[in-house]
Amino acid sequence: MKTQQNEKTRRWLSNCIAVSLLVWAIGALVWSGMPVQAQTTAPTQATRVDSSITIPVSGTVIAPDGTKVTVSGFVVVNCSAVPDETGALKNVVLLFDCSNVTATSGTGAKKVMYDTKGFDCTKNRLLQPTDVIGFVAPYSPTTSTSLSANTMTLTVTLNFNVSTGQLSSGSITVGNNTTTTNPTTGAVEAVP
Amino acid sequence: MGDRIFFLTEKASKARLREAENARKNRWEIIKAHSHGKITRRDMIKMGLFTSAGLLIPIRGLSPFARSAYASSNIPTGLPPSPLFGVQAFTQPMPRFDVLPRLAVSSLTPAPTVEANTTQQPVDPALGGGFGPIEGRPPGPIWAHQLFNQLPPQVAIDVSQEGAKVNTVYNPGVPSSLNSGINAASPFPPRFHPNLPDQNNLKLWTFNGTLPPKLMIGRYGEPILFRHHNRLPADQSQNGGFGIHTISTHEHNGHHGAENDGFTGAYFFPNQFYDYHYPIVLAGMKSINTTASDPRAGGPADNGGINKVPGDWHETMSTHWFHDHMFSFTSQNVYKGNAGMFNIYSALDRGAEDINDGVNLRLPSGRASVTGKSWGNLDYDVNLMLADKAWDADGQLAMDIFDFDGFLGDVMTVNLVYKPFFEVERRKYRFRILNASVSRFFKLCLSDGSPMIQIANDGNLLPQPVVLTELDEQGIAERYDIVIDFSRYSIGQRVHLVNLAEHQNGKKVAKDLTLSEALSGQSSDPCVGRILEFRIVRDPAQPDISQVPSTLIPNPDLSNIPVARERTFEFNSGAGQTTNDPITTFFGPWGIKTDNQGGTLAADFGRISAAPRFGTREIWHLKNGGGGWDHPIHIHFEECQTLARNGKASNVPPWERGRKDVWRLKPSGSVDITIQFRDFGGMFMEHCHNTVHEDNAMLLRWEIDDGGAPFLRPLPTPIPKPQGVTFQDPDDILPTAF
Repeated sequence: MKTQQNEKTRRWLSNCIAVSLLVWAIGALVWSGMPVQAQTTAPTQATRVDSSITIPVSGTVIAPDGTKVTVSGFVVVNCSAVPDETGALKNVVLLFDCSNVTATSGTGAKKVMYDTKGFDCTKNRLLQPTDVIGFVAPYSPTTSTSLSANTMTLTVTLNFNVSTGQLSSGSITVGNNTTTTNPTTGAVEAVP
Repeated sequence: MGDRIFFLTEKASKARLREAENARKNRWEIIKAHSHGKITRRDMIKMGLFTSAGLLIPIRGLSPFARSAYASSNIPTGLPPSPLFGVQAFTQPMPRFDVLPRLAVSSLTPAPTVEANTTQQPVDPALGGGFGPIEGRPPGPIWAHQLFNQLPPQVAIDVSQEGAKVNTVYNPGVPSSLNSGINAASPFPPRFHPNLPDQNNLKLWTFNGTLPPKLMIGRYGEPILFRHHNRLPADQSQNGGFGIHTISTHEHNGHHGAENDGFTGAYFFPNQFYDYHYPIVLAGMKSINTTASDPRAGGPADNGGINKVPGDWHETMSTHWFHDHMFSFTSQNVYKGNAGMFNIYSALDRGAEDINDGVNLRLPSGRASVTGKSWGNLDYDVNLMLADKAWDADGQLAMDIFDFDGFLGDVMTVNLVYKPFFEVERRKYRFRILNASVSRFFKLCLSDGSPMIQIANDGNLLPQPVVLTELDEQGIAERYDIVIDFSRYSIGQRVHLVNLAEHQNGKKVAKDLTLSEALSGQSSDPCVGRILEFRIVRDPAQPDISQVPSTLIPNPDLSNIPVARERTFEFNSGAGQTTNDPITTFFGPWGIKTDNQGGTLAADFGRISAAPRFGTREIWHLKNGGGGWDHPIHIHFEECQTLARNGKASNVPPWERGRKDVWRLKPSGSVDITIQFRDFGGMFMEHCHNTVHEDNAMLLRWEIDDGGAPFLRPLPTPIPKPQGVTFQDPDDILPTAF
């Protein structure tokens, strides 16, 4: 313990000397700079604002093999508006639950059922009166593996009460979309 | 401080860029002094450089966030952008990891010992001179390898930490055709792109001093002795301006004794080594399947069969990584290159897709019948290490420790090279994706929005695979294993891995962009958008017989295991400190409040915040105390199950319904988890894995100390020195710890 105490003492002395040497240089730097008011990040007891809406989905998409697929069901959007360190509501954390979106094609003996394999998508977005969020959701025949999933583009328009941070309404557009790879741009192409 | 932008663009005026470069140089002097041990954070507060909350006071000429003299609005000075020297993205192949040789234990000299080897050697005068032990592991029975004689090491991994040098022994584990044409026999220089400069040996400190990053390969039932030599400069000032030469290596997230966990206060010095004993066992080995009769609990045998082991097969793990955990210097040391990955193979996850024995899940990997390897085939099983970096005007790795919100780089690397391409065949691949950044989160998707299948989270195969078109945000240290089926593409096509998570500072993701937003090039964050290019180059020589079964690994059944107690940990800013030990104590602004008692406390590795009883199960509530930041919280030792998010089980998304060891709490969010304490004992940690938050000082020690001899209750704290490790009583024990 004595050795340890000596070590502590040595460290303290060493630090004192080093600090003395640095104070001049850094002090000059501080002095020469424009005085700017110190900023702090005093912790704010956050109050998260949770809300949720259910948006019906209805539309038609064309699968890569040309099959016309009718989409229906609903998407649950769970929203948490979170304050920043100043207490202002600036961000929303969104969870899109598409597990209740189903689809069918054909009729009678040729009827095929599809589901979204429990698709969820999360997004952290800036809180604004209206936000348009596009994402693609997978769907595949209920009898096939996940590897055979195709995708459909969902465009979700969400309306927020920016004062309370709550979701107020929303809509979803399911176009006649499918996605293909564009090796030049890598962008998503909508195929009507 | 709201919507500041960390990095200036190349288009900023020359005056602005010059101003920012000068500010960085000014900070650099202070960073060096700090890393050389000449000043402490407390000294800097006294000098008026920091607020008590830990923020750099925005002084022009010093702070990146001070008002610029060359801007009329309140635009922060920012950092100068990293020069690219004309280098374009996707113009170099992505190197596969460098597979570490698996050696005979008998090749190690001296032979490994149960207790630390205290053979004396001269200590470099720069470290105080005199004599000290050759091994830096704390001596004596408490830090002896647990179960060393029952589970003796069968394989040795012998590595060193050292400055950058050319790699002349690169082993990607696959032929050149599966490594984007890279000739592994050619010397591999320490640079981020062929047209960027070599890294100085004081700037880049990697395993064995070389690139690409290292991959350790192991299997259940085959204990590993990981001997880590510290060959960093003895002179602390020879660090290239950041990082420290003392290290402690965490195998994330091994179920090992604490002496092998890389405890933050069990660091070792230059010219020493530390023997880590990784027994590679299934959790529950002392209470479940103790006769090793279940074939699902096992490791791959060399003959294609299974070596059965005791333990719960539901606890099988796959994708780990290892990295530095040096107290208050983890961010700098990991950023300098102290990070590798570790693939663990098992009866279920064999790494041989053509072995069809009813146990092997046959995930994409490669064929034993082609390679002759009954396990661990890497042909179609690819490790990806994502990390943002920055470099100075000379192209040398640069870091800025002056923002305790976190450090963001402005250049994306994959496997430690700048935005590479990777050639793939038209078949399924498994990618083990690690976020090895300091503070940056990622959110990944493919540039055409097509599906990926997530099969594992934090190294744990999920109960069921999850189809996703964009992954969840991926916090620092989280590992996401995904399968991409490239058979949907044509030869000649290219598709990119895209980052959607836009940062404005290191506190949290500012915004998850949509795919079109991310591809638009409009983001102020240079690391948003395409980060890796997949080039579809050919059909596979053999048909793809790999599978993604609909059931992978169900969760362990905890229904008959009572909950011994519950604890609450709240992660916050504005931390205080109640101790003042020069070695073990550090100062915030970040910290953790335990069990709603007292204030938020900054780290002291001499403080015991929790001491669960051996053999019990607890529920821990992890709460984010604020909405202005996110924290990826890591709990060491054993994988946990996530019970709820924001108080509801239904808020736990499908990809988190397996086991995990890192949780993004999300702003103002909370996570409830359950964890068991079994098989081993000792002192472990819980901390934020935004390593800037961890270093400043959002970390606590918890311990399992009631398992009987050799453990003491409470455990003494190790105080490492080059001349030998001493012990002292805990500085503090929280009232609810025991």
